[in-house]
Amino acid sequence: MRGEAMANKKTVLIVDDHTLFREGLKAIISRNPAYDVVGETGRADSAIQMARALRPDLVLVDISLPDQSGIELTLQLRKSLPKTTIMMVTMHSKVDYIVNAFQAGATGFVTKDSAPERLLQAIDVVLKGEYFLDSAVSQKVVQRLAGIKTDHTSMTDSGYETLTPREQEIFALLAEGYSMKHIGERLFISPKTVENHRTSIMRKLGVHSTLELIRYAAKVGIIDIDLWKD
Amino acid sequence: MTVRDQISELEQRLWRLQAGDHLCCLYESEEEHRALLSPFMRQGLERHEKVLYIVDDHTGGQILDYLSADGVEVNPYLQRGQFAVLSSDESYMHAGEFEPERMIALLRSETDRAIGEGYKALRVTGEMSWALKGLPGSERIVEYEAKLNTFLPGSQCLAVCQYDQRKFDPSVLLDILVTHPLAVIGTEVYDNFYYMPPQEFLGANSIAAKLNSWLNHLKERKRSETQIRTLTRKLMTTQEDERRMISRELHDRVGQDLSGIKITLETLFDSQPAATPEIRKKVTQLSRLLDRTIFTVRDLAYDLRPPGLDEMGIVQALAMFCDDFSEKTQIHTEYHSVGIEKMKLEFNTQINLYRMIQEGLNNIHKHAEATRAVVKLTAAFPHILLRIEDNGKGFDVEKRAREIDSEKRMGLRSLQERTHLLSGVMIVSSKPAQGTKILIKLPYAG
Repeated sequence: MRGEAMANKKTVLIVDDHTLFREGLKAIISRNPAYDVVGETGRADSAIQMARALRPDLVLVDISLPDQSGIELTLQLRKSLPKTTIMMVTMHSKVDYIVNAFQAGATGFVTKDSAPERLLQAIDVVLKGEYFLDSAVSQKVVQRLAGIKTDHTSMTDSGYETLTPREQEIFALLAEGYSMKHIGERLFISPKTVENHRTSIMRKLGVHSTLELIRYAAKVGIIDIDLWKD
Repeated sequence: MTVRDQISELEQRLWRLQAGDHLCCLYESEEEHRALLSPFMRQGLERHEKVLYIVDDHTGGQILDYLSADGVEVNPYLQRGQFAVLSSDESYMHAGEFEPERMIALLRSETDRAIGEGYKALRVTGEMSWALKGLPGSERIVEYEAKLNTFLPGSQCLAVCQYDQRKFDPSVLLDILVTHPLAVIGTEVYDNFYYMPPQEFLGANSIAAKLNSWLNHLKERKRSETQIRTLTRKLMTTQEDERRMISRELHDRVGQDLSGIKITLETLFDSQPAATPEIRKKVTQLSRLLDRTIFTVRDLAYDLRPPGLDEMGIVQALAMFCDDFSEKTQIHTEYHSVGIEKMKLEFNTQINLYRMIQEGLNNIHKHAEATRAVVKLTAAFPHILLRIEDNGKGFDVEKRAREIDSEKRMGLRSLQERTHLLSGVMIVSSKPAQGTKILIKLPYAG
């Protein structure tokens, strides 16, 4: 009977170098009889060994560990124990770590100041094989990811990114209104070469006239067309 | 800096004067005159030096009043002979005609006498306005000033020569400036780099010597500027390193400890089912306070060290910063970046750009009363262009530039300084009620 109950329990390994925090985490997890903390450690190297030996269902990983980052540890655990679920429990709440953690193979991310119920809920969710993202950060992540689609990548993945340094230089001079002859003299190249660059620039940017070219330059911030006139 | 601060700074500087010093004082008001001469005399008396004051423009009574008003009991000094007020007739024009050598001989013998009487030095100051009266020999005043520099250094005498800038011809003052190693202008004492030693100033090739000295000043100035720039760069790097260290400590150590305390509080009663409601309530309050503390510490840590800059680079870090800024200030902030990501900027450049945008946006938040802001970071070989614009109340650019000089506006100034450090240029365009546009153009060799 007892053995069977044990077998049904989900096993958890805690990796966090802060003893007090580990104690607290254990106490919270033990509130749910379905979970059993089978090991704990404060270092990444021993975490690997313990995980291999204990084959836990879930590893809770802190990002800041004394010997290496929790992100790296996640990558290694993912490799050697592909069936183990990994969740980050961390101080960090900024987008970058979150993205990194998920890329490394974690499926959950909670901040350390989350309420106990929230932590337990997170464990439930990830053990079901779903993703869990702390509400304290999830909004930011969604915003950021959405932002990347609308705001600034609309610019970053535009044709301008494909211009060579030389083309950038010529583009700026064209936008500032210099003639091809002048640009050629300034850069010590023939007007013909400038013309070739101009054709290539316009093709890359998808613009078809000087007016469109200037408008494009204003849009990306190379020139400013409505400066105050005194 | 207040007038009082300036004066007390002047007094401290005067305290470092010593025997052998030769100063000219160019003043334009009675306040400036008094601000220098009163402490100059007082300090001499306090240091047990003999003090000689040669009046011309002022009366002896006015000079004594300077000291009395400063709380100095003058009469004992006068009676004892430690302090004397002479007229120009009794000194410069003693022989009816001014002759530099004779005046210098007089100073030398007076110095010897003062030392013989047990004083530490002879402290002389003269109002040079007598030279404007067309008296015989008065045209030799510049020659005299130059020759004083052969007598004073190494002697037990120090002198301040007073010139009322409102009365003397600028061409004379120019020579006066060149013949004094130290110059007091207004209430500031300057180590005078226009000074020329007497053998050069009076020599046959004085123009060539002047040219040479000017050229050297130019070089020296350039060197100093380079040195300041190097130091400032070092200072900023040090500052960033320190911020990074403090941020990490706050986040990783203090923050971790606080989380440890918090989770312990949260689980305290798991093993204490008998705890009273009062205690439970107290602990809940503590836990809430901790939440706030953790939030503050984390915010502070992120503020000190832009999160993501190390890991994801400037484009993403700035996107986050602008998001946070919009949210925090309710100023809708757009951020566009083109061509920057593939540039592989040095970390130093990245952090400077980041700080400039941080400072620019903070300025907008503090002063602009704007509802919208735009940040554009553009690679345009061989430059990086940074535009920070807002739709706020704007300002008069020329007027603000003057305020920057008087250190009232640190925000724009520090932007300007960072730009300068990166060898860039900054152009600010604004008009009242029409928003502000800042363009910063930095060289980028790629």
